[in-house]
Amino acid sequence: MHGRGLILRVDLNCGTVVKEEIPRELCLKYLGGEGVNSWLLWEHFLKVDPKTDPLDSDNVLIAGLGPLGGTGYGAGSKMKWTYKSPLSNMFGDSVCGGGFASALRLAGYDHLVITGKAKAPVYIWIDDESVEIRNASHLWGKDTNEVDLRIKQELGDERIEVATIGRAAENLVAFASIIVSGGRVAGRTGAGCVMASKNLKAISVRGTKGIRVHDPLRFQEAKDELIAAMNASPENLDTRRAYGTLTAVIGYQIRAGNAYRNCQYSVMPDDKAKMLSHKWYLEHLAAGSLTCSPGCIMGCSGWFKIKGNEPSLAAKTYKGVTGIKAEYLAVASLGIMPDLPDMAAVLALVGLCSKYGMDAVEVGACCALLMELWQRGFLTEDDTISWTGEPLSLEWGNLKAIEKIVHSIALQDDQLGRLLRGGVYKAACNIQDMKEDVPALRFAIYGKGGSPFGEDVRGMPSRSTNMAVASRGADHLKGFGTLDLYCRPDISNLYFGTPDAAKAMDITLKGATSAMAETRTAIISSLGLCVIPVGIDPIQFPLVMFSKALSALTGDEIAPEEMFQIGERVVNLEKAFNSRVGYRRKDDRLCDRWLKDPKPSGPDQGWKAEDFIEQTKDDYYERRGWDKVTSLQTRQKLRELNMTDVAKVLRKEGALI
Amino acid sequence: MCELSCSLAKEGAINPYLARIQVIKVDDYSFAPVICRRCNPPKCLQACPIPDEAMSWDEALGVVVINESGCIHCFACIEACPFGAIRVGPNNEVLKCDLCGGDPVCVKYCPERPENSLPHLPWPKQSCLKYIEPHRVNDHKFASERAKSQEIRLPKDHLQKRFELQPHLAKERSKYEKD
Repeated sequence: MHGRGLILRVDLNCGTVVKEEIPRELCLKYLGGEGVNSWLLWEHFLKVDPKTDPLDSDNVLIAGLGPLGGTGYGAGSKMKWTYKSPLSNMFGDSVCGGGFASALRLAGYDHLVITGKAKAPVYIWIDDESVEIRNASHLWGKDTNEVDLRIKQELGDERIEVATIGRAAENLVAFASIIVSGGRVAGRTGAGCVMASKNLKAISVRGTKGIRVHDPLRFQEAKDELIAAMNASPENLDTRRAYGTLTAVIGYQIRAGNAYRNCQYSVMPDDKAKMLSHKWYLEHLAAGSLTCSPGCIMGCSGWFKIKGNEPSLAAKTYKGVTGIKAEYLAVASLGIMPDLPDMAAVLALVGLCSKYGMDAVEVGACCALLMELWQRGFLTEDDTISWTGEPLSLEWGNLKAIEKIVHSIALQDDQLGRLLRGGVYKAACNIQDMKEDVPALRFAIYGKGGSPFGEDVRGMPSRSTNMAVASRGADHLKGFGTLDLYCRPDISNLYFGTPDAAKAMDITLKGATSAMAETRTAIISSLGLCVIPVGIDPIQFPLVMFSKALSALTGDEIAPEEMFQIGERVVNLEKAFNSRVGYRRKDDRLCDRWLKDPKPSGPDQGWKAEDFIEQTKDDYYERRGWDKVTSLQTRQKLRELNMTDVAKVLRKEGALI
Repeated sequence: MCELSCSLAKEGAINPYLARIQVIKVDDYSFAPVICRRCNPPKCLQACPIPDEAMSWDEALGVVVINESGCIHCFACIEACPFGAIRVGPNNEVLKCDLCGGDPVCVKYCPERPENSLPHLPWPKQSCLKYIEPHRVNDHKFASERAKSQEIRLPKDHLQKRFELQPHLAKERSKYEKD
């Protein structure tokens, strides 16, 4: 088939490798990337109990890139890793850039399904047709950057792409990540932890076969059309090209979305915000720009070098450190939440997290939680002595303390690390178990499934709804481009035939907006593209554009309406998985900080999620066609989406209305 | 992006190993494009044992073009190129830039970088690749301007490494050595 690769199944129990074609019906039903990944996960858990422990060898790790990824289409190549999450115990997936995904497609594989558990540490070496499982005991215990280098040396080719885990994953930290191509992170929900539980240290790939194109000339035209659309808003593109998502620090100062000091405040003091702004970064640290994945004309990533003479306190400490620029969420979590207004320190810490291979967002939320408990007098020096053996001040912005926490979590060598191993929600529970009079859960920042998010979303009803319902837990990549942030009446008109949904600080149609944004990101992720350039704006980048490109590449004609249905189908499939695990409406919830504490400042001062979330959730379930009381899917909706097979399974388990 | 666009335009398939342009790593985070520098007189043409059949000089564009049907795959041009800009593809095809008839796709898809307009960088709003018209290639004033912009820096060991970087060529060479 043109433009499509194979599914590569590797069973680590017995070391068997099976290659099979992706059935054409599956491509038409779920597109590729996230969609087909979710189907493969669903299929796997038909044979395996969905309530299995995520760290059991029965869990599966799936990697997949959609058809338009890796082709040089213009909007990047983003790979999805899908599994049952050890962090939230439900559906889990994580997205990454890097050249690994493209290399896998160039070798002829669109999806990689890894099952079982190896007896000793191994890594997989894919060289076009040949697939080999090799001993990795010499790589166990090494940092991610070193593994990348050593595998390339061992195999004798610098152009090999490597996906690997670090020491955090080996120590089974629940939010450990997979680090791809030497610094691109599949960060959220514990992909690395699942990989480590399979005794799989790394996957390396060289692809030289290429991707066959159905109609090269038409594909070239489709590409030109996309690039023209991307260039049509040069200002927007220029800002993003130069700064990536870092501009949000200043943007959120105005919109009041910076979760300063564990979200006790919504804006930072201006002088501190300046130290974390894109301008400061560009003036002092930026060394060059990069794309995060092949085939992107935007290239919003970059690399930095700390020279040591920057006007920041930590610059001297981290003199000579280089690395890949962090994006807003990492800066928010490690800079804004624990009040560490120092870009050099934040970038160095994010670099340290990727060296150990773990999620900087979760680490930042853990630090901020401990610091707030310290501020309120619930934690004292005695606690830190009993956890680490030495006194540690958890004052806001104490760089030494944050660094100590990062090391402790990754290396799991003291009680502090073990306390935080399961992420911020479980850490709060642990603290409450230890000290009954400390209401730690009251202060932890988390959404569905216990995963944290480093923004203040209280005044944004649509975004809050996404945090409460997203299939992989609180997250902006399942529902990117909600209207309360981008206030676009034209998009509201397109979706609902009325401009009402575009009003900020208003709950009209906001639940429905969440559903629409979620469907759109599911489509983009299933195509293998990046949501940053093309995910937000359905007017500038209408689905018909992708439909044309897909037909030129693969020869499959998928109309825009069908594509929209595919997006819905993907969301429904992920929801069905969570329903099987036992998640219901009561689990679609936010943390108390967002629910109960009114927003202290900003244009939406006084807003709290408690006031609107049940209403917007109703609105969301209604738009999805799900039952409002339980949040379960209805037979009618699944029949509409041609998913009767899924409905049958759900009915048998009592998870269907 | 340039590699992927090149292979699509030239071969109708997406495969960086078939591209006439190659992006290589200089150090940790910097990369450089390797492509025909259009030297005059061209070293590759001088090295070719059968220049009449396998290679020709395109007067209008000022570039050497390979005639695939005449090529005997002796790889002399690859050895001769001082910039390591001629490559071998997966099926032993010799890959060399022919400038796409004067409108190279790699340049077309190379985005301009807005931050290049900042005070500390000398060339406002530039992309990495630039098409230089034939009459300016040997223009000395222009050449010195190019050098000033530090246009392309290649790592010192690039020439030694160019065989290692191409697995197909390495395999092929080891075969010859055995023979």
